[in-house]
Amino acid sequence: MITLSPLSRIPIYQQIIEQILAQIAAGILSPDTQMPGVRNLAKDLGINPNTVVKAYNELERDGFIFSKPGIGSFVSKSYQNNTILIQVKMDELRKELTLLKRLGVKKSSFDDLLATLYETEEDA
Amino acid sequence: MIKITGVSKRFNSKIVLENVHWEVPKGSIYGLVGPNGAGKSTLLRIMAGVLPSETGSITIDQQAVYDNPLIKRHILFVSDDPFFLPQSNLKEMREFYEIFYPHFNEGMYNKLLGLFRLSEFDRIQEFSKGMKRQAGLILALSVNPDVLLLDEAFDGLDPVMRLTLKRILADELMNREMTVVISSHNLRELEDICDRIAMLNDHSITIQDEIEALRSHYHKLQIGYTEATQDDYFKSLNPLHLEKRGHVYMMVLKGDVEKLLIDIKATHPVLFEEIPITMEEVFVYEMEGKGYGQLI
Repeated sequence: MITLSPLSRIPIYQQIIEQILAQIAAGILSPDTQMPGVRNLAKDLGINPNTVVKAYNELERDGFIFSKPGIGSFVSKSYQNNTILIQVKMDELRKELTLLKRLGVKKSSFDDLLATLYETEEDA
Repeated sequence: MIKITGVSKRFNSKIVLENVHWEVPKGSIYGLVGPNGAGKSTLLRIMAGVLPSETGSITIDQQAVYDNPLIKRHILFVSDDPFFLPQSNLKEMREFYEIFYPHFNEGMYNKLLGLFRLSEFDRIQEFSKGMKRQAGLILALSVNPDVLLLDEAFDGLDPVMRLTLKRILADELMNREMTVVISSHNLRELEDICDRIAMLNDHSITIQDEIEALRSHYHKLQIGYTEATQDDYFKSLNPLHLEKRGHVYMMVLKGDVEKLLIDIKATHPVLFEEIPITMEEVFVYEMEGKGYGQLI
């Protein structure tokens, strides 16, 4: 399920990529799951099919999905290139943290946040 | 491919189009934008072979369009005020179309009738403006045209019908090679479905390119300082647009700016952001650069 935000400035193909990456990271799209077909996705979203092709091509180039000729695209088993997603998100985080730092948030607050986040994660 | 070479058109002595050059590749879907009265409808009419051009040529796959009934069977033009026979309903209009268009696809017609939720037996004259537009689209798409020219197709439709139209176009583009030109003022909507945008301004096509190429050609920057003293420096960069609010500048630059960005960062801004540009902004800033719509 992909939803586009009509008010977003982010190009549509990037919105598609980001949502698919987030769903892969969250495990919603698990390895070997078949991706929606280009035609169906373009039709559902009411967008140019080439835009979907462009998004899928980039995802395939970076190893997140692979295509079986004549069948469709599938989520890769081990997406070793998740460093790309991590890099993108780290950059975003750095920006937000810089702002928070300027707003006077102390390092200890981040420590607490991280501690809670990772503890809960481990408990689960 | 549709090829327009040196097309000019006057109405009486008023110049509408002058030396228009434009190439619409086969299978592409082109958005045509331009200020009111720029001549978009006239250009579409000439492309459809409804109007003759004064000079220049319009060819589709190397064949002239005007006075060429064989080619015109494959071109469908939906005007912003579509023509219907007096007192007719859609069923009668369908029969009328079937006479002129041997490729008329009845399955498609019935499918579209359902998607656009129109009755075949109601008099079209009694339809609302938007419903008439929908009726025109049903007939046009049922002809399976190779070239579809839509004049302000989105502008009269409600949001649901606009999405329906985009979905139909996306589906048709996958089914077969159709070339589409859509004029509209709704750039947001054009960005969804089009792969290219052309701008008609000052009687000719001033911009024609792929949306992605346009997007990477224009750079919208937001740059903030603790003290704003960069006015002269930024003006010297010849931006398409420059404004200043407090200590923050907003600037639109055109072209390859890699090196410039490094220079700007060297001025130590506390805020530096490149914001993805929308096609609407490209339109506004380009027009503004030509003095259109500026406040006194």
